[in-house]
Amino acid sequence: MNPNRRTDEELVAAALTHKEAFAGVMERYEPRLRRYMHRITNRTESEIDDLLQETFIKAYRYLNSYDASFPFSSWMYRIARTVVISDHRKRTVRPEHTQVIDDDLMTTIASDEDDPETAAIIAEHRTRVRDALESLGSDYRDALVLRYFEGKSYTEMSDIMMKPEGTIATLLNRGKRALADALKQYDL
Amino acid sequence: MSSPLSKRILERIEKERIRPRPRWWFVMYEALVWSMIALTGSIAGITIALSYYRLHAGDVFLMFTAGVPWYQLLLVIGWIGAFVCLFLLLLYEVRCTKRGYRFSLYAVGGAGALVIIGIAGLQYHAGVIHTAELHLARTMPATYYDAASARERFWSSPEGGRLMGYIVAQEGAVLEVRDADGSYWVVHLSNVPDIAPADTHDHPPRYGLFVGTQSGTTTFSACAMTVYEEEAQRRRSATGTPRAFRGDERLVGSMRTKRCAPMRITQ
Repeated sequence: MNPNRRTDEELVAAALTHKEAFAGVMERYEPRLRRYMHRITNRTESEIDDLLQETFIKAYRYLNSYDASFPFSSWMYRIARTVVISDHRKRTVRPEHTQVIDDDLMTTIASDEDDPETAAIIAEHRTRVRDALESLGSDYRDALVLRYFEGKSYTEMSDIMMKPEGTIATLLNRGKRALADALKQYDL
Repeated sequence: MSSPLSKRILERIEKERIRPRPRWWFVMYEALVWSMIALTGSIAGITIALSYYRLHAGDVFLMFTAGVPWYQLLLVIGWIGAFVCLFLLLLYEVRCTKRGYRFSLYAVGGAGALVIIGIAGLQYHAGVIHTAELHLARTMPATYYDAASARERFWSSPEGGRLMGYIVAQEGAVLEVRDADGSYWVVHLSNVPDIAPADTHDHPPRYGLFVGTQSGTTTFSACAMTVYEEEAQRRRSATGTPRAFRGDERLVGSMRTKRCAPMRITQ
C-alpha cells in the first residue's frame, strides 16, 4: 500500500513489525518537524539534521508507548520539542540566540511583486519582527509559533507543550502582548 | 522515495540494533511509578500521624508554654516542615499526567496534603500509631527508654518551672504529686480554674506535667498542666515506688488554659 495513503496509526503499527515502515513516518514528519525546529531554534541545517535524527530514533524506541487515542502528530511534536530543549540545556543554561522566524514566514509578509523600495522596508521590518520574537520568553515564543506558524489547535498545543489549555490561552495572550510591546520598541 | 535523512536513520537503527521497547516495559514502568507514589503516600501518612502523636505525647506545646526558646522547638518539629517541602517537590516532579497536562501545583499539593492528613488522622484515631510506638518500645528498648529518661529529666526541674509526677490526691484546686525521686509536692492550681477533678484524680493512676513556679521546698504553683493516664498492663505492675516514666502513656487530656509568663529554664 502507498505509505502516503496510510494513516499515522497504520504506519506506527506497521513500523512496530517492520522497521522499514518507519521510513513512512519519517517521510511524513521530516519536513514539518524540520520547519518547526528552524522556527524555535537557531541551529544550522546540519545541527537540525542531528536533532531530527535524535527525534526519530527516540520516537522509534518509544513507539510502543504511543497511545492511539491522542493525535500522533502531537506526540511527534512533543518529542521534537523535548529534544530541542534538551539540546539547549546541554549547550547552555539559556540559549544565546533563537531564530524564531524563518524565510517561510517572511514570504507571508513580503511578495515578489513588491518594488525594491517596499522590499527594503519589508526586509527591515522582517529583521525587527524576528528580533522582537527572539526577545520573548521561550514559552511565549513556542506558543506563538505553534499557534500561528504551525496552525495547531489548543488541544494539540496542550499535548505538545504539556500544559493545560487554560495555560496555553494565557501564554498566547501574554505572548501577543509581550510581542506588541517588543514591536513598539522597534517602532512597528 | 526515502530522503537521505531517513535512510541514515534506518541505517543507524540497523547498525545499532535499535528496537522499539516492548509494551510490557512501559506497563511495568507505569506500575512502578504508581506503586512508588502509593508507597510514598502511605509512608507520608504514617509519618504525619507519628508527628501528630509526638506533638501531643511529646509535650511540645507544653514546652512552648514553659518558655523553651523557639529555635530549640524548631529542632523538634522543624523536620516536619522539611518533610512538607520535600513532598511538595515530589508532587512538582510527578505533576505531568499521561496526556501531558500539568495540574495546578497548589491543587495537587492541597489535595495530597488533605489525603495524607486524612489517612494520618484515621490511623491516629484507630490507635495504629500508639501500637507502633509500643512496638518501637519493645523492639528498640535502649533507644526508646533513653529518650523517655531524657524526657523525665527535662520535666523534673521544679526550680526551672517544670514538674512531673503521679497525682496521688486532690483537694479542690490543690494536688498532691509524687515526683520521680519519690518526693511529694503540693501543687496549687490557682491559675487553672476550670480543671475538672475527675480528670486529675481517678483510677487508673495518672500523672501530670506541670508548668509554673516553685513557691516553696515542696510546693509548686502551676499555671498549665497536661495529664496522662497509664496503660492497663502497666497499672498492674505499678508498685507505688518511684520509677522512670517510660513514655508509653496514653494522653487523656490537655488542659492548658492560660499561657505562662516566660520564665528561665535550666536544663
